[in-house]
Amino acid sequence: MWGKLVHWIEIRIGLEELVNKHLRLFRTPKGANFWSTLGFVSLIAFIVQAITGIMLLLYYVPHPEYAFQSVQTITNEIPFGWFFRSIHNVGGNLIVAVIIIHLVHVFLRVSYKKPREITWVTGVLMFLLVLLACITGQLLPWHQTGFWQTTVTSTIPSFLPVIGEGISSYMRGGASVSGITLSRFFSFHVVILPVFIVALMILHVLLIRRQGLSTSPAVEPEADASPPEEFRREPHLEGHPCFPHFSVKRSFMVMFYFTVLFFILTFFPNLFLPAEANIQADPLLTPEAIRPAWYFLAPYQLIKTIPNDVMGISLVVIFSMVLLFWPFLDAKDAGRNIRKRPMLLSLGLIVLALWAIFTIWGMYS
Amino acid sequence: MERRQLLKTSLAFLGTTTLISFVYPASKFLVPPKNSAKDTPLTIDKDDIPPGTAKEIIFNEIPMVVINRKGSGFIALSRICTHLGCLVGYDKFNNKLVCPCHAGEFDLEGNVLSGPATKALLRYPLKITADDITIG
Repeated sequence: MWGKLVHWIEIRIGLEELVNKHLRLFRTPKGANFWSTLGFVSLIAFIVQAITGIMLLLYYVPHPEYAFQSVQTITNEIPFGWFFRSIHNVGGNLIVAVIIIHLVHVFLRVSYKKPREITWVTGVLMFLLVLLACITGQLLPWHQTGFWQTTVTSTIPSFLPVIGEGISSYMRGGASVSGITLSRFFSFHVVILPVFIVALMILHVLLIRRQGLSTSPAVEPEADASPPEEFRREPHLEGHPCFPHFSVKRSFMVMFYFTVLFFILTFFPNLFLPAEANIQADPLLTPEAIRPAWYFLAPYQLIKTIPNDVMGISLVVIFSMVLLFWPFLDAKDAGRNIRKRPMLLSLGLIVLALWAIFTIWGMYS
Repeated sequence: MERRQLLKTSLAFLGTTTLISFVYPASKFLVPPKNSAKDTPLTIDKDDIPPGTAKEIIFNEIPMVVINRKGSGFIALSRICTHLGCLVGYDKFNNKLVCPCHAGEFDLEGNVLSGPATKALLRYPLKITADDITIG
């Protein structure tokens, strides 16, 4: 029966040829390990967010008077509504974590160097857009936490001279967070940002397919790693076919992702939902402790720590720009083995350490 | 069993479990929720509907018309035309219900008089007291 079905599909689609051409003939380099699968895990995490988001849309009402109640109805009355809302909520945090680990891995492997600069730029752009999707998503349930987080987040750009007020006003659609903000954030969260993210994702994957996965500098001799002067696809004849070898690793990591997701859902269901998330937004009552999500704690604490607001926000903008265009700022002639580049390694570790310190500081300040 | 085969079998098992964990809740989630207003009776003052007139109401999210027929008393009918779902209106001059979409006509019992509809309008039971009419 199964064989007949496969044969039926094979005649019509040519699945065997498709798998051969795009998976078996596409070879992964020697040394491609579990860390190399994180881009794929991010893709799966994004698909999970898209599916659960579409499901929540069936019952969610993007209006200040009904938004909170509709989310409460989803959570408490619709069968398994709590399940899909929790997956979307926890998944939104996990996708940020997966992308951060992926970025750190690519940085430490120095995989962003020529000819992969555009791949890095599209990756960082996607990361920034995912963060924007998180910002816009936190307002939609119209609870106290989301409302005041949005108030704080949309005020921060106003510190920028000249354009700051305009950016804040554009984000909110007015002087303060209101129903107009909800409509704007809703359209950005469910349509505009996902469209841009998917477009960048297609470009990102296309570039990886065209160039081949980057080889670990620890495996590849430094002499062979010289940047090419013309387009050259890395065939990785020394490596393994993507399917089934690397696909099994990918599947394992996807399962690991789901394990973490369901572990948090089971044992820490309110990890990313503070008590104020169960209270309807009140524009006249600010809760006692309003903190941004964990991934924004570091820049938030940095802006709080630096007495000059303009300098604080400028530092965050400059850091984002440096991160985005890092492949063009890194020394062109330097090799890819980070163990032989103590300055770069130190820089990476210092930034990571500072990020961790500011995050923990922001959590307890 | 070979190591690779064991890995494949384990992944297939885990993948299927994960898929079922999504598909079963999704099938339940997609079922439309029950109408929360169900079983809440609706009461109308009799004086609101003098003989020969009708009152359009919505009960359990169903549009209805309560008609006070001269000589026959009150009746509650669904306004949803049994042809293609448009809402019929009470024509007090000709004592019938008319569908604006395809000119279907129904008598005050809900039976088809003319037009494309073949089924009678749904009729709902009423409790009539001295002052009120209660539906549901």
